[in-house]
Amino acid sequence: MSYSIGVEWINAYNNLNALHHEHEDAGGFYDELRLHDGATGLFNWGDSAAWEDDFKANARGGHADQWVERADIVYFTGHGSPSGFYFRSDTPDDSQVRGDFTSTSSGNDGDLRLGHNNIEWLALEVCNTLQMDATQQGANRDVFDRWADAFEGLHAILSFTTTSLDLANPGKVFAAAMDGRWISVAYGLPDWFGRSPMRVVDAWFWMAQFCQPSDVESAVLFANSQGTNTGADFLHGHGAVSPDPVRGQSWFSWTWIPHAC
Amino acid sequence: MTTMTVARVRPTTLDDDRITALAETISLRGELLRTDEAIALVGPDGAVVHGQPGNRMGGLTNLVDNRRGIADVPPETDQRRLIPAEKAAAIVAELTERLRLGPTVADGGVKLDVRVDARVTQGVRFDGKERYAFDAKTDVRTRVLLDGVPLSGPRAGVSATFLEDASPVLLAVTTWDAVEAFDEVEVLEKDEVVENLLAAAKGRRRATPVEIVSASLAYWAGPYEGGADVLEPVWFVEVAHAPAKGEEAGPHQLVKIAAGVRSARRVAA
Repeated sequence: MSYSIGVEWINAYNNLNALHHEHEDAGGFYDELRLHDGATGLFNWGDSAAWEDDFKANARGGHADQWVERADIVYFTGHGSPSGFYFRSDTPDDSQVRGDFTSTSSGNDGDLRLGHNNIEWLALEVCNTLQMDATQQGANRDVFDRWADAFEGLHAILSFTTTSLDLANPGKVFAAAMDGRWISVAYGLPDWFGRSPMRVVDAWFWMAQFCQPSDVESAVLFANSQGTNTGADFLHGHGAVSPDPVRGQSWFSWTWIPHAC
Repeated sequence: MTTMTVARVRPTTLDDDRITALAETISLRGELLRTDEAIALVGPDGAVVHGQPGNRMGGLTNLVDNRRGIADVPPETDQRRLIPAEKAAAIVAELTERLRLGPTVADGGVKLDVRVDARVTQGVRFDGKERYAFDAKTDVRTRVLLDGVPLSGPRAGVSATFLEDASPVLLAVTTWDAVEAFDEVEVLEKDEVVENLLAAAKGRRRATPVEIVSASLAYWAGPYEGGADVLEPVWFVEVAHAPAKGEEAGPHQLVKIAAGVRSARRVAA
């Protein structure tokens, strides 16, 4: 099955410390899947061309339907925190994709409402976004408070609970773990060593373990409803992909799993 | 100024027997493939790969079992019957000893210590009303200390993840035949590292102010990049941006900074 991908990255922050490797990081993801796995690349936006508006739900005034919703998997790399992930301050709509309960104590203020079109997986190669507990608006708002309502058919968010290093290779390594080419990519070996594709979640954990220092912890947050098993998803073309989890059925659940490097 | 040893490592060479024996631990069948740089057994169910000396991942063995997934838990299931942490640690110890994998006893003027951390890692499930902790996997991490300073990076120690049975679903282990003193370097003091970082951040117009959360010293066991294969000291510094308006806390950032500034031996000479 053919599938679509999109990446956004920021090195040249005008409002936060500059990063240095995000173009290679996101570009590695993009090129690995386009050139070695037949994926259709929809967008590769960086610095001033990377916008919060591309992720923000249309119902919230953004244009996610025109951008991230069209891709099956989206990879973002830049700064992050428990409350969301960051863009330049001079780009539409504002400088942060926020989770819920981050700007008001009554909730339902998040920017992400994903999954009513193509997108299954959102990979956030940023710090702290999936940290379990975080103080927001004077109260503890855990990872479910902040991100559960982002799931409107989305299968999983993949990120970190801790800080992580600004590195050039996570995107390519993660992509290669999913398409099975990790043996060649990680060890610099010829393609005839073959492929061994991992599940999306396992690929994220393996990437973090391979690229990041030992004190870093990655995590995943995935959703399920009757008849789905999103934690077992492979990338399209490499194994089974669960049907989308649907809200409003007999049950709906979110699962968070951390993984120490 | 404090000085630290730069250690040279000599990654091990794995032969057909050892890689095949490792593959057998997860009943992995596949084709045995070799170059001067690596040896691998790759099959439809998973792979075992080892970087031989000279490879960018020299000494690192990765085993991946694709038949099982870490998050492949039927959503209706409350608990997984995981292998206990002590048993997982014992399996890793037996496996690494039998196949002569993992950090070796150092010689040549450096001291290696190994600490094993084995635990059942819990996940949390939310059904819209309640949060339920559940046993997600059993993790074994062998952390290596060189002269008391932890090693960090892709070629450091042993990392294994188990699910219900005695064979790991993921295993990464770095094996050196020898670790020896290569050089002695003067290292930047913590205060100097912090001062440099804050000065650099201050120089940026419009950026939000930052403060230092923590700084810790480690040896970086990264990819081999040519020349002597060495473990060099680095500082890991966590930086926090001041919160923006309406924000409780600003984003944090982890920075790796080379700690060694010059050879202490050359200075002494």
